[in-house]
Amino acid sequence: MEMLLQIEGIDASYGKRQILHEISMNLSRGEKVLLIGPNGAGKTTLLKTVIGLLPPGNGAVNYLGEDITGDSVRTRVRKGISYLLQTENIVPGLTVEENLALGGYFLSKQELEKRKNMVLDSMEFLKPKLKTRAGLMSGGERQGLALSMILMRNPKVLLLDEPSAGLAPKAAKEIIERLDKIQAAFQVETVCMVEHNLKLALKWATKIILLVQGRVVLVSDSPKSFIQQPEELEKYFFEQV
Amino acid sequence: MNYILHLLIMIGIYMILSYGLNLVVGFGGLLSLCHAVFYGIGAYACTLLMMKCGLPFLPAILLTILITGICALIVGFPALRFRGDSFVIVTLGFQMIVFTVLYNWVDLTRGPYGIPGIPRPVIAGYEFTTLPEYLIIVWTFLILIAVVLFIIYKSPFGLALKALRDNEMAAEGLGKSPVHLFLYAFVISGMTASVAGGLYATYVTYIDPTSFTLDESIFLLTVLLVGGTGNRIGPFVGTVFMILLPEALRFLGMPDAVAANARQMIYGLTLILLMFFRPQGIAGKYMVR
Ligand SMILES: Nc1ncnc2c1ncn2[C@@H]1O[C@H](COP(=O)(O)OP(=O)(O)OP(=O)(O)O)[C@@H](O)[C@H]1O
Ligand SMILES: [Mg+2]
Repeated sequence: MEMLLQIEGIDASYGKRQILHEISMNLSRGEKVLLIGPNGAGKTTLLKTVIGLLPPGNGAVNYLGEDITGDSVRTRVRKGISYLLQTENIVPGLTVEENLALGGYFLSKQELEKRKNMVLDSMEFLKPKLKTRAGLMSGGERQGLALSMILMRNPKVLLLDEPSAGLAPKAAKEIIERLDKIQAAFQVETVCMVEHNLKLALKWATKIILLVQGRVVLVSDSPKSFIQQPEELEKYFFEQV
Repeated sequence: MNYILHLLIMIGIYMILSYGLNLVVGFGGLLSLCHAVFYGIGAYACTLLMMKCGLPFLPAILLTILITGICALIVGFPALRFRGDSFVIVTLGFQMIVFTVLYNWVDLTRGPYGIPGIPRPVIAGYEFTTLPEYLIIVWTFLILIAVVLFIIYKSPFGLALKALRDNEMAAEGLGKSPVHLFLYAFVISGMTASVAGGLYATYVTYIDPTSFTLDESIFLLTVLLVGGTGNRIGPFVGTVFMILLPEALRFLGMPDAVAANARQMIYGLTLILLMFFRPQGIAGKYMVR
């Protein structure tokens, strides 16, 4: 399998407090990676270093064989990596349409229009809400919008930080089940998702990476084997590293 | 009649100032306390270029825009690395420094004595001296600048500024660089203010540093807060209201000495009432979003 994104020995800190310790992982073309771990393990921190919101202290991020560690977020987005923030991932004061335009920043007018229609075709519920202020939408609709926004720039790699956060079980199920369709429709090559709802996410994933206290403690290519007993994974959560 | 023309000219000049400031305050959500500095740099640069270098008005104003843009870039870069409160403080510091320079660099600016006898604009051999002529030149510049700014307001850049204002993290995660975008806004806003400065200087034909104080910067912010920010109508409403209010007081038959004080108090009172009843400003509801 072709390597798309390679993370090599990443250390990251907030101020003096080191959060990530020598994290390495690979995302290959076609892979669907589930990133799990207890609260505070550093999952969000890891995705932030990959997209460039947080510069790593050590280590490198390679994308398509090119070192992108020094690139700005903007450059990475242009190169095809998109990141869905865990919280507050839309701009509440702008309309749905403007939020989408924001996702497609610097696309030409025609491209923007084309892309928008494509996104709306897979997010039907947004169509009647284009002129609504995003802040007035429900939690589920917001997550759908946030996902739509990061699809506007034709990403190859999607980094999703708890796309089902705060959603009712049914809506959570829908959004995760929709991922495969989206991936096919938008030709996304690999997805890395943080998700606490293991039952749902294990069905979706092709690979699991388990993070505890800023270290990778388990990598498995057979997520399906855990579907019957997700507790097997969760017990790691309480392990001391 | 002359009195009305004068008011219209001043409204034009202040509209240029507030539409420019709107980009930083209304769209970027950054409170700048140094807009009068760019207005002042514009006035002095244009004056000196015309009087000391003998440049005609148009080349002088173009160079003025350039010079002011560079100044804005130099201040904006450090100011915008840390946004929020520290931005306000840095702009305040800049305001104080430039005022002190204008006041004390007597060789260049004549300091407190000011510069009298500023020539009127001559464009294509035609000198703009009378009030109606001046009205035309000011409003022509206003319209040109407003058109450019309105395009910017509506552009992806304007949208990105609003997004950064509302939710910086989300916008940044989508690949918008806050420092760069805010810096562009700050520089554009400074450049438009410098045009107002050049127009003001050649209109009143006398400038001194007291026109470009912190008070003036606060007044310009007040104009925006009163009118409403982040849209096209707010700066217009704010400017008209704030310029006509003192004139209205005069019509009420208040003696000038009393009116001057009453004006300050009424401005203050207006702000307080607004915060209670219409925090978005008088025209804040016409959000062009
Ligand atoms: N901006 C920040 N400044 C300082 N410390 C932070 C910041 N963000 C996160 N942390 C700390 O870093 C550690 C890892 O946080 P992170 O958000 O990466 O965890 P997570 O695995 O995403 O958790 P969750 O499942 O709750 O989202 C936590 O201990 C947290 O307190
Ligand atoms: Mg997290």
